[in-house]
Amino acid sequence: MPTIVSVDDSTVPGEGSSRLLLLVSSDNKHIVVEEDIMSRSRFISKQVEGFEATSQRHAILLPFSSFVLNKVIEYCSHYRGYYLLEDDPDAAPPGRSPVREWDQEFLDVDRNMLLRIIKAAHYLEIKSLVGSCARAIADMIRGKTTEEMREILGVENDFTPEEEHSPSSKCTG
Amino acid sequence: MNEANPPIAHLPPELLVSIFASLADESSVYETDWTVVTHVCRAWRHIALDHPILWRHVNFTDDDAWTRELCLRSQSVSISVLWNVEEAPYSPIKADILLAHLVHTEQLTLLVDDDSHHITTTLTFPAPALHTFSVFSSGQSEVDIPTNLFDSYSPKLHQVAIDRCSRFPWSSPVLNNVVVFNLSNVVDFPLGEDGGFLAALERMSVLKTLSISSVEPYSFVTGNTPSHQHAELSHVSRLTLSCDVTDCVAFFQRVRLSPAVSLDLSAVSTSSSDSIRTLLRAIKSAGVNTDEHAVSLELTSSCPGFVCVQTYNVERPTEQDKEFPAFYIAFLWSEERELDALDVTKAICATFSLAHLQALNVNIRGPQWCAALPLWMDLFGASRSISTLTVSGREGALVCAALTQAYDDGTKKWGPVVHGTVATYFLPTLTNLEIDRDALSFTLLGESAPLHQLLPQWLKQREDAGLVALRALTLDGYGGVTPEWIADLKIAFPSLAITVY
Repeated sequence: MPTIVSVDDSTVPGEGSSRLLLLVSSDNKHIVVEEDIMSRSRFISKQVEGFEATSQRHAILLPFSSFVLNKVIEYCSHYRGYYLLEDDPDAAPPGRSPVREWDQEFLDVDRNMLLRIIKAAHYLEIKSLVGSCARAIADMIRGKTTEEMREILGVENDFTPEEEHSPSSKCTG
Repeated sequence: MNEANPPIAHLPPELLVSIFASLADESSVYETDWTVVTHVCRAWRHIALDHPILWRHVNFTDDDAWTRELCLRSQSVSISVLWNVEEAPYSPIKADILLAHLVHTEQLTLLVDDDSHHITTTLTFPAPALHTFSVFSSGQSEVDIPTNLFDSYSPKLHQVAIDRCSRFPWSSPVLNNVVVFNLSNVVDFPLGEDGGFLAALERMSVLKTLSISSVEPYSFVTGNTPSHQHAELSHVSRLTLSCDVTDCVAFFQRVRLSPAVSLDLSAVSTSSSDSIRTLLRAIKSAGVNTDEHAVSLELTSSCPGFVCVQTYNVERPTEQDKEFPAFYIAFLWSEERELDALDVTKAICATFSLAHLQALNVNIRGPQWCAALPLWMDLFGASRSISTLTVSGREGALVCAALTQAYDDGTKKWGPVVHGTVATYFLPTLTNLEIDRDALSFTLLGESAPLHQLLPQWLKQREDAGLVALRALTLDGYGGVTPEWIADLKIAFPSLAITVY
């Protein structure tokens, strides 16, 4: 559960349908963003619903840095007002995540940043961004050997020799 | 959430599943390359094996045990099954595996051959999850489909593609909910049989897309009992038909279609204008409103001495042609064959009644075409309603020059504008003229000068002669005009729309 602190109204002024939210990153940066922009996040939407119930507005503390948070806000800003099937809670999940050219450029970042973004997207429940990140990570390891995959993504081989070569462990044809 | 340096091993399992799923989806669907992730580390292996959704694409392999293992890993999630007998030869064990998992099979694709076309005869168990069923044959034998296909229970079956299945049990209720239906390699397939194919199409009340291709010539007419009954197919919104003109005609004569149906026809003809006309009449008799909706027809003809493909876009009919809509005809000659241009041109003249022609686009290549120039003159001259004529190709300019001479002799009523290797002729009924940057010269009554110098004179001459007034003039990159020239032209011809790029 996120930590929620009270904020006074002057910090987060309400302006009808385009109200502002105060997001606080793990490095204690305060970022004000329009509620509409972040409505793609199921997590944020649920927080806002909570505000409605209590008639109090709060800052939302998030467990990732402002650098990562700003990337997520950039994504949400780009798709502000766009309908993306993956983010529709009432729609059936698509069979495969669609390829969006803008996303590919947006996610042309290093491995660690990509992993941070997908974790943040997962935390914020932005399925479209999770899908695009997953595709980008898959692209990094597609066609690679197990050793190359370990190297690219920093994974340790923790198989015992028996596990690795046991006939019962066959996983590929 | 520690994000200082997040190794991928620390990602929640559901994110790793998303990554693996993306890896599986992006490879050729039935490839198992993605399963290499199970050899990276223990966590990845456990996650991969614990999530049956990752194993939903099952490609039958030569190894029966591995095929069974793949199916078992999918547990009860909906699966897509591909069994290509060229890669995974038929075995009773594989057939048993197929049937054992039919209950949660969502897509089933079978690629069979002459030695395995009986695989389908075993499909007599219910398929409650089946959405897509495809059978393709690389052999020549008909694929056997049992009368009790899927035990007559496949309520979710929306898409069917069958190949060499002319003896399909058309009365089977498994077709009732099909939305997309593709039928290919049809042989000896009379449409008149009671309870047959057309009756099945009629019963498929939610069918939207119908495609019939590679029909053996005369399959629809052999042994056909003439019938005045029509199958009501007004629910079909898109029809693709690829067969002999005779079979096309037979099909359209037996069905009623929506006036707004989207037609995509590819017909083979023995190059008789009668067959083309008969086909167009049959399309109309099937209820298709060609007045309002375009019909795409690619007609492949084989005449003695040449092969040609003609593309018709059947558009709105005009006052000049009540019987048939205007045609746009493009002749694309096969360059692989030595063609007798004279014969080809004669054939064109014999095939089409140019009185109905409104637009003609001819691509002329090869010096032999020059020999046919006199016939081309007759061909073009026969038309009284062409408003757009474009001659292109390497020898287009030669044809253009000859027509220019004819015009100058006063024997014809049109003159050409030449730009590059493309020559556009404007005729008495011409209404739109486009000129590009390469239109350097213009010949009018023996006088040769830059186009823009003679164009006003030519327009005036048309007006004086009572010819159809030019309504639109487009100058696309033509460098010879000035704003003053355009202004003067607008004053002289106020109803002429002038566009300059």
